[in-house]
Amino acid sequence: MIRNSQLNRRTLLRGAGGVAIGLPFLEAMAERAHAAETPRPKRLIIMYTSNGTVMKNWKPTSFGLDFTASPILAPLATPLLRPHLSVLSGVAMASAQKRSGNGHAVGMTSLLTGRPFTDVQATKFGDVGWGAGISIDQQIAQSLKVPGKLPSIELGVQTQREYRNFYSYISYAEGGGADHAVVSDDNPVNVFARLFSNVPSSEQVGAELERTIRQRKSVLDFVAGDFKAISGRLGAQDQARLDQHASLIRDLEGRLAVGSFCAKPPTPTIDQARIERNDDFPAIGKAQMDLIGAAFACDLTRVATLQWGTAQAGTVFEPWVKANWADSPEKYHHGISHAACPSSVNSPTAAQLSALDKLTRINTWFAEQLAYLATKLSAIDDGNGQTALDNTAILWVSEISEGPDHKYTNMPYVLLGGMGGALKKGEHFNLDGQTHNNLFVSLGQAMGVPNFTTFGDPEFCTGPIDAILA
Amino acid sequence: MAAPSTSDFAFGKPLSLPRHRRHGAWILAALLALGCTGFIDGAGGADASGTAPLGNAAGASSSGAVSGIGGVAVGPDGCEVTSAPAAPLRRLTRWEYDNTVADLLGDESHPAQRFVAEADQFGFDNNAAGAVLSPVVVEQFEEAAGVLAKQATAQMPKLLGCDSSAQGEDVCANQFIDAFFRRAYRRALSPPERSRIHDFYRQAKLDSGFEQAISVLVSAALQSPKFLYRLEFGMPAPGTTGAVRLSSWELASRLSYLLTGSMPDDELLGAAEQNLLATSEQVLAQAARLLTSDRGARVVKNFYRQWAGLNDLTDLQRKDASYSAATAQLLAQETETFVDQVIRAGDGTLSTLLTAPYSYMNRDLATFYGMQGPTDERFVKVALDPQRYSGLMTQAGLMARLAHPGQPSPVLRGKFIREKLLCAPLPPPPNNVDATLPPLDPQATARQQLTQKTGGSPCNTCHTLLNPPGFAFEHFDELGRFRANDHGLALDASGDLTGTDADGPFADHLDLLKLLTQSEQVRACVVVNWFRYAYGRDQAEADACSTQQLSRAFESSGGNVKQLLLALTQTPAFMYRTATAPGVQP
Repeated sequence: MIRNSQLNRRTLLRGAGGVAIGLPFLEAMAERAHAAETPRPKRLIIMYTSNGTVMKNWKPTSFGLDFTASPILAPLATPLLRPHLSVLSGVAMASAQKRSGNGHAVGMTSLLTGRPFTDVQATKFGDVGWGAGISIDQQIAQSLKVPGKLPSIELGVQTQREYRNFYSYISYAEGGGADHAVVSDDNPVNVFARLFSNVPSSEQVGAELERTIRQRKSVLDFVAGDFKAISGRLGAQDQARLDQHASLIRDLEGRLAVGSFCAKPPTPTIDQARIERNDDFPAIGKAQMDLIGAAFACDLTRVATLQWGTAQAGTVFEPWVKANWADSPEKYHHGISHAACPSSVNSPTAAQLSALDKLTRINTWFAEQLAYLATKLSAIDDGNGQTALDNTAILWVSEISEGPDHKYTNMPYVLLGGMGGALKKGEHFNLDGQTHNNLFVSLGQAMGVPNFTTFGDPEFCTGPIDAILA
Repeated sequence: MAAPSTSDFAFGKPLSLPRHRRHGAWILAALLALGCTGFIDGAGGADASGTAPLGNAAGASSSGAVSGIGGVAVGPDGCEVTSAPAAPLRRLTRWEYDNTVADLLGDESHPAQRFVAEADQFGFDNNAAGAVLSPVVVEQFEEAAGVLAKQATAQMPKLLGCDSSAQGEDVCANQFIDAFFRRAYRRALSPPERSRIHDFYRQAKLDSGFEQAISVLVSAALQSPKFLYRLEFGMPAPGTTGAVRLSSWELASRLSYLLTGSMPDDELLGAAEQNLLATSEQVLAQAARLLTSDRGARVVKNFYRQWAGLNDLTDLQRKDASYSAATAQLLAQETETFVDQVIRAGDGTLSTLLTAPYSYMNRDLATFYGMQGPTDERFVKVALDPQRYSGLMTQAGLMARLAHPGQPSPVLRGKFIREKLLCAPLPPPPNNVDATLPPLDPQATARQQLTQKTGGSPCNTCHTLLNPPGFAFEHFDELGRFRANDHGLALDASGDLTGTDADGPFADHLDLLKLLTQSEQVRACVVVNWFRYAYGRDQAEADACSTQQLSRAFESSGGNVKQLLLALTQTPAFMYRTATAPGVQP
């Protein structure tokens, strides 16, 4: 297995010649894509941002193909991106309404699972718990996984800075609960290593890598043996935890052959001290988006999540988002979202107007980030005259609709890209009465998951949303 | 936490008061019956006189009321062990991992700081349930192990403790395997284990040569569950129902990770090997030794860093541009030095922690406070104005953390006292409440504005409990420095403490802290917090006896935290766990 992929690596490296290594990254990619001459795979990105939106500045005023982008979505209305931009109005995160608890925690745990939270703890702080089942990104990744590729990558931007519990996680492996939370990696250097450590930068390095990989595999084998040796001697709960650890080691072993051929992008240059520094939020986000682009260009994975902060995140946007920050003492994202008022209020106070303005600007900034990511994908040549953006769908989600009332109706979902023609695009859809479970079924079907008819809590799932499927 | 305005709650289960709160009279009777001559008293008495070093605590104990428990299921202090609580499997925290590889390999690079953070439980990072498992986590273990192995084998003779060119590679490898894995796994290898490791070594040497084979051994050890987890199989404990007593090796790890945050040192491993942790006296003697050693400072500092949330100082946003990461470091260091000096070198009492009219500063920190005295970078004891300062609560670390960017936060300060000192947290505000602060009104103090904002229903239900203890600290600004007035307006730091066992009026923070010092609820809360930290889990029904024992030790030593720490190693909760599968010695 390893020998074969190594052979491929060498052959292809020779084919592309030393030239490929020296070429700028995207050119090298283009060269390879043309060489492959096969249609590129469909891909999915889910982008999460915290604390909801400002509905009146988010929702376009008319439906259909000719809608005018709202103030928040304006950055996505560039000539390049507007044809790819769909707005999904009216979808409810119905599973989050099933069980009451802390507004942000409830939304976060239903966000990608389509289920009410589990392991309910009736605390003095109100009910809390964990995501109750596999999340849609993991479901799709597991269903479509390809040997030698990472099933998915989970990238974060300061998701571990404030909370280290169910507030911090959007993805879950099969089964859900604390032991199956899939943590987003906040460090671009780690993500880079995960993606590219098995990608040689030259033939000589390739031979050395082959030996290293063989050695790493032997170590993991040995460690797996240690897990086996103590199996059956602990209580059920402890044993389940060790079993999970052992199975993750086997997964890691299977991933050691990833990256059979690719031109390597430069290593991110963000040092550890900056990973949790508030003011580096934009720089880390950019590095993570660059890595998603590089991973797709090299076809190392086909499913990615990008998580900006945690539920009820307290990010301070003042250093890079222009607003009149001097007019209120509240600096933190979550605090600002509470200082606002629901869009339905007709005569907001001055303080509420100020908060609404800041929230609008914050969400507009996130739209600019999404535009950066999408533009990046549009620069990757997928062959046959297509770009990676043509073959990708990016879904933008949040754990609540709006900050002040923590509602789960009218979720601010934005969809960018057409997923290889499987989704309609460029339209503002009126999806009143639809659930996000149904949306996820549609995405899974568009990605090509076989026999995918239901997802999450069946109470909230009736099937795909035909209106958005091409 | 960076989102202080609303529901930045500490995640946790509702707190049930320790049993002795509910049965205070019973405990008092028990104390009288025992004549308060337990080992803790002996040690506490000796220590309070200031003449006996901590190490003597163990000596005192052997003549005290401790019963040995070889084969008899009776814990020290007469606690009968009928059944033991489940002790969930603990994985090394990032902090423990870093300490352990520093002790094991001499590596000071803190590789685990890059690992996924633990999930907070009750405000602590070391709860068994907080160890997150995820694909990234396993990758991080693998990567760190590879890097550590590479660095260790770069200094091969030092790692091996053997000259492979003179003595032969395989001879050195044999010695290395026994010595290294004993320390990495924190116990001696069994014969099948040893032969499996030898096979692995031979195969790796064939494949990539001697140096790589040693490197591979180190990497494998660091990823093994026997290194990463604190595996406890226990030994049969006659007379119990479903309980096992921990082996000497397992107790050595419990002692060492509790009191030094790291693997056992050579002396402790030696004691374990000779089964010299079989009685509570032996355990206590080692505990006292570890706590007095230099590494003993780690546990005290780590506990209070987490309890006070000092890690959050680095990330604070403050309008005052003079507040920097360097300031944060100084503030954290002040509180850490203070608690360590009081608990390990001083009288160790809760009362001193809350009321001491002194602290520890270096030149830069003194400059921050606008004080004089220290002349260089070293932290030295500094006498403070007792009309202003009182123990760790009035240190800038806590006061600055419990504040907003441009003003102090009475709510956060009151919340801290409720949660962390009284163990009586309040629920977060309802979701639909507008919890933002009013814009600053230069004509009114922050107190007046907050009182107006939270005075009505439904806010006042909780805020009558939260605001007063917070208002007591009005004299400390958002950087934690003493202030005489609130932007020119007169301050009012008085109030009424309600809903506690020490209710009463207070004039200011000095008064309030005196009230809290007399509170049995506060002392019980210290025990609860240390229980959770030490055992990595919450209290269970089966812990009633252990909790009583700890409370008694703490009460009878006059609220001495050092004695409480030693007592933590003497309970059934420390020495026993539930039996799982019929086990053989590993």
